[in-house]
Amino acid sequence: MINILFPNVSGRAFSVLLRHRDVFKKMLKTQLIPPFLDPLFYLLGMGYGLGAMIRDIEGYSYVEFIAPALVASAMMTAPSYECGIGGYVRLYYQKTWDAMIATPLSIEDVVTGEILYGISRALLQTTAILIVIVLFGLVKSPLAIFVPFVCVLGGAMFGSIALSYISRIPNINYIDYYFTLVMTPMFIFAGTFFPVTQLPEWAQKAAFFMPLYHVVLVTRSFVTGDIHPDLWQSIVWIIIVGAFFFGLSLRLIRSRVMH
Amino acid sequence: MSAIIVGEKLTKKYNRLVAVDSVDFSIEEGELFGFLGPNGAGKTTIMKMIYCFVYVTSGKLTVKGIDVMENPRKVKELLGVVPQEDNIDPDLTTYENLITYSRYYGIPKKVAQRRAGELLELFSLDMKNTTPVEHLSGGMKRRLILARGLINDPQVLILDEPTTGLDPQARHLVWQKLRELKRRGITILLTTHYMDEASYLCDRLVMIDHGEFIAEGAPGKLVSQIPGKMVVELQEIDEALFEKIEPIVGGNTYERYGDSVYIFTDQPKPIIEELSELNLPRVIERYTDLEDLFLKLTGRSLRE
Ligand SMILES: Nc1ncnc2c1ncn2[C@@H]1O[C@H](COP(=O)(O)OP(=O)(O)OP(=O)(O)O)[C@@H](O)[C@H]1O
Ligand SMILES: [Mg+2]
Repeated sequence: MINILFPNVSGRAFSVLLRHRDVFKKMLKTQLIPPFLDPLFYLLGMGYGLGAMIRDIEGYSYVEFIAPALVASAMMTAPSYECGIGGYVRLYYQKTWDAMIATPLSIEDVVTGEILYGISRALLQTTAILIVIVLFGLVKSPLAIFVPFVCVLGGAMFGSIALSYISRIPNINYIDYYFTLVMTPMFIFAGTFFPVTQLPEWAQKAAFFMPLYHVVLVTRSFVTGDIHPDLWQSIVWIIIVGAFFFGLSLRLIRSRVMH
Repeated sequence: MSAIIVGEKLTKKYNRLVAVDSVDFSIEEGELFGFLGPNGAGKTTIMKMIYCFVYVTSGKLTVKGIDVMENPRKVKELLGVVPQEDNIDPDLTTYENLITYSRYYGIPKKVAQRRAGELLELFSLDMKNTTPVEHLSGGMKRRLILARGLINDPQVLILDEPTTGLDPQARHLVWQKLRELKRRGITILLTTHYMDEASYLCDRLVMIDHGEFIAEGAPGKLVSQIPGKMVVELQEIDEALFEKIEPIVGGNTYERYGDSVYIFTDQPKPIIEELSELNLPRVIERYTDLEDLFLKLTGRSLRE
């Protein structure tokens, strides 16, 4: 069954992850500070600055409302950068994937390794943000320990979507479309900085189809301890859509790489 | 001896383009087998089918009895690959490249570290252990890819133009190593555009043009197909000069290309003596070689 959904994937995918880890270690110096600064700016600027002029949302101050959304957004951005831009560069420019698939690695192992790395980066990023918001007293519930699990599911989903996308584009400039037409709207409208109930009826319905909407809903439930009635529905949504795109990315990348 | 790589009616099409056209071959265990041919002949495509990088369109291809289309992972475990295009990992150092690559094969860390050290020494790269690969020269990169191709102690080594871009020292080093590997019983497949390299190294070779084999056999046997053991090459021959030369060379097989005339003969001395009266600008006498056969078979025109 697993073999039919996700063909040719093996444990060797971890050797790809280790390669990315080694490269990441070299960049560690530049990668250590920004993950903490980024959320800090958002919290200070939007949360406390802008938030001071905004009335409470669903019983939460504005900064309390957006803090979980910052965590959730990182589950989208980190894998999108790594699997989208990084993956594209390794596939088309550096030919790193070509070298890999001349070994016993299958192309599916390589794709899986990229997704594992996307998840890892998402975990690092969300952990950094969690630390920051804990320090600001914005984590209200011990359920927050489940956030890393959400991150694994969400990271896998967003990594798979990004890889599916790059498998079809004619050149690297098309990645801009992905960021502006796919990621930015989600970042703004998926219940991140204001509740989707502010949107017109049709847009609220459309939000259901935004992956980030569900990731934000689940993350917010765990960070605030205020369990949303749709929690289970959203978790199942993420798993099904994530599995779908994972299987899709395996097939699309194979058809792009192997002739 | 038994066949280790067998292709039967092996065909590769890229969309409509037929890159390899129903070729049959059988490479023996421990053999050093060459693929020669002009640009675009289909050499790399055959190699890529063997290391499961492109699909076989039709026909059959097996390595140690394993079908490349059925079990690519198993096949690739047996192979060491040196691709034509440099694809070492630019984000890593020389040494890290080998260690990282060894993990793709699932080689235990200790073994990998030992082999990486040995291989870097073997290819005189041990001084460059911690050098980011961007800082290596073209020839050093090529040597690193050769070292990488040996990290899994392969039974078959696939070398797609391994010596392109190497200086004479490095080329001779590689030749030495290849013969050493051959002595150890490793089967080696080689493509090259250097005919001297092919005659020097290969037990057998095939010449390919437009995806088809046009000659095959041991290099010595192939060269003997050319009429005449020697070539007399005359350079800077214009029409006027050629008219004077023609009666002298007429009885032999000869060929004109550009401003050169090539005369194939077993007895060059009398021809050269007769020609000496004409005071030709350049007369070169040499043995016929694989390159003469290659050019005879594939023509002298450039491939697009
Ligand atoms: N990925 C591809 N898609 C389409 N056509 C291709 C592809 N790769 C190779 N070809 C074509 O297949 C033919 C054989 O190419 P191949 O690379 O096997 O030649 P080669 O003998 O290795 O040449 P060279 O000496 O230049 O390396 C060429 O006409 C080439 O244009
Ligand atoms: Mg080639």
